[in-house]
Amino acid sequence: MKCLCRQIVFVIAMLALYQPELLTAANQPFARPELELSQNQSVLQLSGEMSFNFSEAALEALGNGLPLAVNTEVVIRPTGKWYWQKALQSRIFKLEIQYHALSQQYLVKGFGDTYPRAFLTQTAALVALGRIDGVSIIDMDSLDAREQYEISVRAVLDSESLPVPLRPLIYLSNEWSLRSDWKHLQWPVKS
Amino acid sequence: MVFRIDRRRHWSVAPVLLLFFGLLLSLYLLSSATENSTVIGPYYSWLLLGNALGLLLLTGMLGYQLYLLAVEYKQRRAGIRLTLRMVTMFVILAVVPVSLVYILSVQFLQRGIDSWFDVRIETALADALHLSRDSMSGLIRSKAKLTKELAESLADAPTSLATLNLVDMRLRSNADEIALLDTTGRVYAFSNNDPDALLPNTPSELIYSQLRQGYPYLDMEPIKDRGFFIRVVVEIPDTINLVTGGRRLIQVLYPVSDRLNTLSQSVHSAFAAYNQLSYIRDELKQSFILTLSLALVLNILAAIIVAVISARRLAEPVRILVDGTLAVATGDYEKRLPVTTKDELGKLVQSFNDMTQRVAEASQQARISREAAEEEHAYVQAVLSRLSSGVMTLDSEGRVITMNPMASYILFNSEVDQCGKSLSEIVSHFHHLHEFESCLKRHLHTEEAEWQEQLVLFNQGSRQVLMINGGLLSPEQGRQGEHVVMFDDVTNFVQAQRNAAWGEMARRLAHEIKNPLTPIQLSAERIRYKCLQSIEGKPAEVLDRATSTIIDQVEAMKEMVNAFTQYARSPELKIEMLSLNHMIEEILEMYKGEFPRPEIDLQLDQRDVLISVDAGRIRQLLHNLIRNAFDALQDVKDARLLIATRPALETNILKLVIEDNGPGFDESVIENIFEPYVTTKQHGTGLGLAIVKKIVEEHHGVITVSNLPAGGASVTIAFSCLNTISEAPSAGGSD
Repeated sequence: MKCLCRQIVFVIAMLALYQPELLTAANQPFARPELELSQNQSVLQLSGEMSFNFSEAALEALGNGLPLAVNTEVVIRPTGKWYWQKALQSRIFKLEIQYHALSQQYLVKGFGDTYPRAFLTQTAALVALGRIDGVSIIDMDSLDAREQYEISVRAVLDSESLPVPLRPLIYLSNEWSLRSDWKHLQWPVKS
Repeated sequence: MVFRIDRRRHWSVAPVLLLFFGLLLSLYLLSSATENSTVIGPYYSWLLLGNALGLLLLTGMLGYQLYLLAVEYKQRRAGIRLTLRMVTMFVILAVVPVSLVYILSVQFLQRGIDSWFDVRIETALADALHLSRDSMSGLIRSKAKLTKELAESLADAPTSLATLNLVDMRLRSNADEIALLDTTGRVYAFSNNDPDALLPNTPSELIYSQLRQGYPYLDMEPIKDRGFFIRVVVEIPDTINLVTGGRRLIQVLYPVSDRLNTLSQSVHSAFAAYNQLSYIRDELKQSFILTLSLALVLNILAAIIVAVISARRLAEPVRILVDGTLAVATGDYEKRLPVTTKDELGKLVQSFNDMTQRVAEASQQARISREAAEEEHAYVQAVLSRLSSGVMTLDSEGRVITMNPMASYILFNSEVDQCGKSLSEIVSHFHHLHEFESCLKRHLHTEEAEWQEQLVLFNQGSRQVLMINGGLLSPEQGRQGEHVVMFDDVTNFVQAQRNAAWGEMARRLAHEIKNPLTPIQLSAERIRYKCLQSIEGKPAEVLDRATSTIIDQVEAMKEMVNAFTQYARSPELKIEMLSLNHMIEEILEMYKGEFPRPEIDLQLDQRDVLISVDAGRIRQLLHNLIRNAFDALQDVKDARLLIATRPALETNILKLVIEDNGPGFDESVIENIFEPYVTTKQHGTGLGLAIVKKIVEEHHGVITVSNLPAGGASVTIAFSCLNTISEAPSAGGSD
């Protein structure tokens, strides 16, 4: 009966609060991006660290073998355009981290990685997950040299990749509502 | 008029069923998503939202139905209690088993899921994983030993020389890749199984930092998409300080055999899957229970809605019947109920319609009959009210059932309702009807079919002659045991007959007697004239006395005949508006010198109401009455005579009252006091009061005589005035 009551409360709360954006994230931001843009020949590259800060529930799940996926959105739009106007380019980088029980290592597929890399410790794996080493985001030819562009970066935990039984909890819990604020960069960089 | 079914209250079950099955499908998919999240998993949120909205919609529909029920209950609409009872019954029938199944299902579910996570299985998987690790560890150690040997073989060898041996070393060691590095990350050379490989798989920074600390690195790790390899990185001994800068390292990547790889992966996959499942065990239970709960809520809501709709539909014919019955109870027989079903309820409704039809027809007939009876009754009442005869009906105990207005006027001189009273009760208030009561009771007891009797009543000195006809009503006439009595006031008729008889007698008498009287008188006078001169002495005296007597007596007889003639004749009246007061004063003036003269108390009404009368006749009337009074008071000490005119207010009647304190009327004659020649006086014609009554009747008045309680006689005459007297009473007093 206790379970039943909890479920009923679940459903009601879900109906009332089905807007994950309304739920406040953990006290700590999900990511503290320190990023910079650079031009490498004919491409604009992004480098830096996302410095992810997963919640304890997420880390516990990771330790129990659940793979975590983070979608990092990179949106490029000319400066001055309204938010709802179509961006010049919008791209999502899917990052993954998973604990490999047999080898007792963390497998990380970070920015620009085609294949996962192994790390002995969780900390090293998380650092590697957030590292951006010169990832190409757009061709310079697509940019107007006279225009000022804003590159916005945001990281969101991909809750849809988690097991279905966790979804109701994810929708209602702050611990799983992991989403960073937009980090805005300007190009060309203003001196 | 046909009752209409309120369709707004009747939802079709179809939309509810449609919604129900839609939600059922959604729940099935939700449940499937929990088990198989690859295909349906991405739509889990939408399914959940869809279910929630669907349940909200169902709840709204249910709320609306319950609201309608509440409103109908408040309005005490017919059939609502039956509907509520049926709804309650249906809900209990639906909810109880479903709830029981739910509770048991939840328990089974929890136990079932718990049973998946046997600690033995968990231990076995963990042990298998450890076994895999141990076997991997063994392999790693053997490869590490081999790598160490390779490193020792390159000890103190120049890098260029070492580079040349890499391929050979790779082949001898069955490695996938062998690389010559240093702790700074510099790659001197490498040899890879894949000829297209341009760069070696260098270790991570963490490995480098471990190596820099002088520790070898040996572990298993995935290499791209080629699976797991054993990476061994050891330092190449440099005893002769051959290398400056970073220490030289040899890295060898050994492939894991396919079989070992497969088995290890299998163990790892099983362990990982079990671990994940174990981690989300509670959430898994909650997810299934959530789905089960949604299904329960869906079932209950749908069951209640269908129960409400079905109960309404079942109760609708009953409600229509109740409304129809109420309409019939209020007298509306025109309403017809719609027959909406072909089952027993439909037959009941049809029977009700037939019954109502017959009741309406019977009611119509009864109404027509009642109207006819009322018409007949009204006709009879109208005829009775206009009859100049009094009609009464009495029950066997002498209680008045009905009496027409004329009966009331004849008996009580006014319209008095005596219905429901017994004869004894009536007589107790109207004493003059004692004889009437005796007559009726006599005939009531004998129960004669028909009888007739003439009765004389005396009321306040006036005489009333009633001709009474009575009879017993037969059962065929509808009122068994009741008597009908019809009576006419023939007083005037009788009096008129008497007057006519007296008049005829007076005329004949006058003619037959008066004729011989004149020759008798003439003869006597002639004898007196002729013979008295020729004889003397005693014969002359005798002749003188005899002839004088004859002449006097003839005169007296002439007077009597004249008076009688005067009484008998009906003179032509000269009616004019005259003051009774003036006429009274006029007549009294004539008696001014009368001796003895009683003390006269004159109370004449100051309004001096005029009456339509013949002056001469009224003078005669007043003269007769005053003369009678004076004659009666002749030997009375302190004789007093009251003469008053008293108008009756709010009527058009002026009363003349004459009262004296004399000996009063003789009781033996008072009943016939107005008959001619009824007198107790020594002298007089005996026609005084008879003439007075005649004059009163000529003027349509009423005269009554009585003896005063303190002694003396009272005569009251009521005259009609032209107008209603409505002013305040004057010094003369009023009635």
